[in-house]
Amino acid sequence: MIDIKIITLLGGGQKEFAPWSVILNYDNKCNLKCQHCFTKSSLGDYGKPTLTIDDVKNLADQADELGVYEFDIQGGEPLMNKDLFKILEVIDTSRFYTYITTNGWFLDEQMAQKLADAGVDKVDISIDSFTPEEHDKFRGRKGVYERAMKAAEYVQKAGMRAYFSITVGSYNAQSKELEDFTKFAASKNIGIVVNCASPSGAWKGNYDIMMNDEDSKKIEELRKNNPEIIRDNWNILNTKELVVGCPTVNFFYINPYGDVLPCVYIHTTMGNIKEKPLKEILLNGFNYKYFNTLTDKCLSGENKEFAKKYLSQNASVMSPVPIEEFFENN
Amino acid sequence: MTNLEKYSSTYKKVFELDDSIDVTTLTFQGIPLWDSIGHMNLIASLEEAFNVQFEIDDIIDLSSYEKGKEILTKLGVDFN
Repeated sequence: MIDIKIITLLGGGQKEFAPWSVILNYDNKCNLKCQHCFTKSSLGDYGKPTLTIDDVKNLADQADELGVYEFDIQGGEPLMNKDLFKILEVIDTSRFYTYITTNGWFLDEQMAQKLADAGVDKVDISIDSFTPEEHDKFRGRKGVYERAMKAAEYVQKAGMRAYFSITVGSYNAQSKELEDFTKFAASKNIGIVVNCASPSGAWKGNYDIMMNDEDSKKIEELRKNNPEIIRDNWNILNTKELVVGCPTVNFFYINPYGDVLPCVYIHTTMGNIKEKPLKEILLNGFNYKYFNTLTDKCLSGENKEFAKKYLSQNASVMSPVPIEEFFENN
Repeated sequence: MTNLEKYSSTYKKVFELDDSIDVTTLTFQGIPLWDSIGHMNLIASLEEAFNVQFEIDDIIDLSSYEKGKEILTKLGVDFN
């Protein structure tokens, strides 16, 4: 049965539960080899992308009509996407709060200005460790930390909003380094996006990295250091705190083949935008039990029962399992 | 057209250079259009022109006109 809430929302009714953000992975190529990569680009899983610029325009038009107001371009590394500026042109950035998520390696002063000129509002720069040596080791290349820090400066100088995108798990949630880094970011007027470390992609089967209750509580406490710490499943109706929304409730993710996934870490496809209208895909996909309802625990990063049951399947961003099979298999 | 001519003309076309520019001195980020996006356009054009497929390490290593020749030679393109 189709959830009446979804019909109402996609029809333009209550907005609080409607998908508001699209994440596009147009090309999975990347210059780094990060240990935790959820798209497995670090392992060379690039495939042969089939999305076209026309597909992206069509996607953006449909998303806009459905009330989606954020457009996040990821990868792979989006600054290695030869069509990035064509994409920014066809989606019409005036319709969306537009951002890219990058490792910062190629983000020099000129590139920052080009992005700003193309209508990018915000840039999320990935940081995994708060000491240069560890970050570089984690990401498989020397100098990444230094370039990421410079990139944040260039982003601000070009007039865009800068965020550090940090993966947080049991291994760093309660560390002094993370706490100090939140203060450092605040001092630079840089926000922080917290991504839950998830046993998915290159970290498939690694359940030890998942946050426990104490870790999650610690992240909430860190907000005192930096009011612009945002994460996915904090209550979206709490207007006192900034939230980013949960992928399985408020986002959808498009892979380089046009498959629509409910979350970057949950590798099931709800349909393909080359085959069906976006609205039909979302109505079907977000009607599944685990989706469309905000939960206290992130399904992929905090809910071990869900992770062990569903994320252990033979699936990836580039080869997601159809949603009917994904849940039938268990 | 020799492979060397084809190689040089790919740079001119991708980076919109006229004949007065000495392409042999070009380096990554040495001209405004050779940024990371221009780089990936160059890679796509070279792949098409020479019917080759670059590995990710080659894409990153291709930091100059001369280095590109080395990599293409490794991939079987004859510049002699």
